[in-house]
Amino acid sequence: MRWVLLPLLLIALLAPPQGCPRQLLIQAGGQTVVPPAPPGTPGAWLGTDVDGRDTACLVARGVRQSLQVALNVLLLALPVALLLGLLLGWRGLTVGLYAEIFVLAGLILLLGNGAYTWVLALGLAVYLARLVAVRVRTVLLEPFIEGARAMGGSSWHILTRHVLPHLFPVLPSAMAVGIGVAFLWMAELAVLGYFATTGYWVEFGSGFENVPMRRFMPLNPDLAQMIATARFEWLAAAEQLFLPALAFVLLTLGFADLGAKLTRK
Amino acid sequence: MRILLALIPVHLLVYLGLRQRELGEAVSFGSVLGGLLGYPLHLWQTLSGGAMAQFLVGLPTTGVYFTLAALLAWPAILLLQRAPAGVRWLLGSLPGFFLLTLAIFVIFWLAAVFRFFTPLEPGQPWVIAVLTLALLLPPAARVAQYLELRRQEYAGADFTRTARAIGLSEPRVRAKAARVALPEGVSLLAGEAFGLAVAVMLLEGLLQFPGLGLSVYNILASGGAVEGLNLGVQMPATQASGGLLLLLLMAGAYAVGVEALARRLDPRQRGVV
Repeated sequence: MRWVLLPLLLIALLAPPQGCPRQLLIQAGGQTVVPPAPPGTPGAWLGTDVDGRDTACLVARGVRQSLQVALNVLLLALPVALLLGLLLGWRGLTVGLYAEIFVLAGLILLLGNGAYTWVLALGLAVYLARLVAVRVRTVLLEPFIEGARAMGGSSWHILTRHVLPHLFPVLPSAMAVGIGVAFLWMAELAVLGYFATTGYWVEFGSGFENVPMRRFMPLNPDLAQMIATARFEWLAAAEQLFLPALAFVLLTLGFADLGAKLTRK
Repeated sequence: MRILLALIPVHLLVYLGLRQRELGEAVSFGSVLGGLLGYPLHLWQTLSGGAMAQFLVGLPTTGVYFTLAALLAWPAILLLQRAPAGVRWLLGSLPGFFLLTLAIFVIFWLAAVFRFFTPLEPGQPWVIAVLTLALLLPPAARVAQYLELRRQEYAGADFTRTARAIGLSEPRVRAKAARVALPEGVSLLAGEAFGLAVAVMLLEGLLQFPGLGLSVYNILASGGAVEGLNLGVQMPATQASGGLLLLLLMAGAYAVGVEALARRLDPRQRGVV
C-alpha cells in the first residue's frame, strides 16, 4: 500500500496554496446551479460543498493540510522522543500510555485549542519514546557495549558513540509509524470536535425567517476535520464524506505499510 | 492494580481540563494547583458514588457492546490467525472509526435489501452483531498479527530445535511454540481494552445511541474547538468526570482480568525472574 503515498504527495503538492475559492452560484453548461453542486457538474466533476467550494480542491487541500499537521507534530515530537527514549532505555524504565485519546482531549481542554499541535506532539513523543527505549535496551545487551564498558568507556561515551548511532537506522520506520499514529489521533479527536484549524459560519435562508439557518464551514480543513464535519450531511452529500475518508484511509494505510517495510529492512 | 493506578492520571487530566473550561479563563499555575489540591477529595466523592450514580443507568447498554466485543475477540483472534497475513494487517491498520462507519453503511444496506425499514436502535440483535464485529476486528487483528509473529519467532528458537531433536512431532512442536507465544498476546489484549472503550464511546457518539459512551462523548465534545459548535452537553466538571471514571473502570476491570490470565498462562516458573 505504500505506493499510494506517491500520488497522494503529488496531489498535496499540486493543491492550490491559497485555498479553494467560494462561489455563490455555479455556472455549469449554460445553467446556474446553487451550491452544493452534485458530482458530475461540469466544472466541478466531484461536486461542491454548500459554500460552492470544489470537492476535488478541498480534498487536495485536505491531504496537504493533514500531511502538514502530521509532519509538524512529528518534527516537534522526534527530538523529545529520542531524549526520553534514551533515558528510559538506559535506566531500564518503561512508559505506558493508556486511553491516550482521553489524555489528549484532557490536555487540549486544559491548555486551550491553540495547543492542539503541541499536545499531539507530546503524545507522539511518549509513544515514540517507548519504541526508542526498546531499541536502546536491545543495543545495551550487545557484546560491543560490554566491551566498551570493560575498556572503561563512560556512560556518555557509550550513549553517544555506541547507542545513538544504532538508533538512526530505526528512525525512518519510527517516523512512518509516528505519522500513522498522528493521523489516527487526528481522526478520533476530530470526531470529538477538536481540530487543528478553525472555520467560519455561513447563514442560509430566504431572509424571511426569524432565525436564519447557520452552518459551520471549516476553513482550510484537514481530512479528519472534513470527515467530522461532513458526517452530519452524509445522506445528502455522500461524496463530501466518502472522498476525504478514502484519502484518509489510503494515507493511514500507506504510512503503516511504509513503517512495516522499513522495520523489516 | 498497576493498570487501575495508571487510570488516575488520565482521569485527573480530563478533570483538570473540564474544570479549566468551566472557569472560562486561560490556564494558569494557580488554577492547575487549585485543581490538583481539590482532586483527592473529588476522586473520593466520585468513587463513593455521588457523581457516578447518574451514569450507572447507561452502563448496561455500553456494557453489552463492550462485553460482547471483548469476549468475541478471543475466537476472532483464533480465526484471524488462520487468515492471510494481508487480511490481518489491513484490519489491524485500519482506523476503527472507519470500520464503524462501514458497519453503519452495511446496516443501511441490509435494511434496504431485505426490505424492512427499522429505525437504527441499539437494542436490535442484528445492529448489535454488525457493530460488535466492527468494534472487535481491529484489536483482534492486531493481537492475531502479534501472536503469529511471536509464534514464528519461537518456532525457530533454540528450545524448539531441541524439542525437534528429541523427536517431538512437528504439529506438537508448533503447538508448543504457539503456547509459549500465548501469554504475550493475551497481555496485548489487556492494553487493547482502552482502545475498545474509546471505540464504544465514538460509536455511541456517532449514532447517538443512549449509554455511558454517549455521556462521555457529550462531556468531551462539549469543549470542542470551535465556539458555537459544541457537539456535546455542558455539565459541571465534578459531575462530568464521574462518567469518564466509570468508563475507564469498566475497561480497567477487563484489562486487570486479562492481565491476570496472561500471568496465569505464562509457562515460566512463578516467582523466578
